[in-house]
Amino acid sequence: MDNDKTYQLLVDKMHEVAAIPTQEVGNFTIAYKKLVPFLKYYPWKSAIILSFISVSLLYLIFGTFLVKVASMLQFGF
Amino acid sequence: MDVFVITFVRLLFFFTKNLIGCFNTPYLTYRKLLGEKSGIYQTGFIFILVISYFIFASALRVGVHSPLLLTLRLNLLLFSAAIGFIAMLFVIFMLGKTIGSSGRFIDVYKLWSFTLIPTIVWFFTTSLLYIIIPPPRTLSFLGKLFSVVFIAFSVSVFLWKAILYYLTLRFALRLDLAKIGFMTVVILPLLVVYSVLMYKLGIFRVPFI
Repeated sequence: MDNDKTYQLLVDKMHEVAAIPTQEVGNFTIAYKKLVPFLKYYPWKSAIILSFISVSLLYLIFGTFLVKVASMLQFGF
Repeated sequence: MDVFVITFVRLLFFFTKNLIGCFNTPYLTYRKLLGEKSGIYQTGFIFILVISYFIFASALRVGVHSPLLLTLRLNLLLFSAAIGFIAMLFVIFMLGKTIGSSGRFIDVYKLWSFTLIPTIVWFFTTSLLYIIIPPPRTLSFLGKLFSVVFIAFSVSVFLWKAILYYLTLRFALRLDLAKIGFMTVVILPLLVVYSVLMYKLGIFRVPFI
């Protein structure tokens, strides 16, 4: 009985894995496979790092215009 | 009655677990959500959160002194958000079918509903900050610091939304990166048109998608 349940769990898992085709990006597949696990398993670390880097860059480029953007966004709701 | 309460509590438990999962591990949560039979019933809690937010936002914008204006504003927000949500569902599903997807509409609905969570988080936070630290921001050190932090927070939530959007197309429609890219290129102009329309009509300054 337990073997049937285990077998069924294994079959279900194999179906789950096989349902979505694997991702291929041509010549960039190796780089893609290195980058994506970071986004998959640490999404917030990636999001926070990326957002602070991008906002710091935007501040260096646009300067105090970002303050106006923040004010506009605060009215955005 | 007991069965109803037990079912409600059970659904609320699974919804909370998936809510935390969408925040911490969206990839694993979305994979599991696709196979969960109760996933479709959990979307009810998301719509309760959406309605709660619109009641709060209407009261904040219009005030509670005029019930008529409050009701009109609330109905306008609900109707526009519902139109946007349903239109987005159909666009994603029909476009996916056109490019050879084998997904089901119910899966698109389930996963796309959970992408409303970052939207609700951003709108609720912005509304609360409007009360606590009302705009406009000044050019003082604190003003600049808050602006940088707020924009970084907005970009993070936007990236979270983008991740959930990608996972919806990947798992619900079973598409690869190239087809997801193609769909995004087609969907983006439609989103821009919707956003501009909502802005011009004075309904949403930032689209509630």
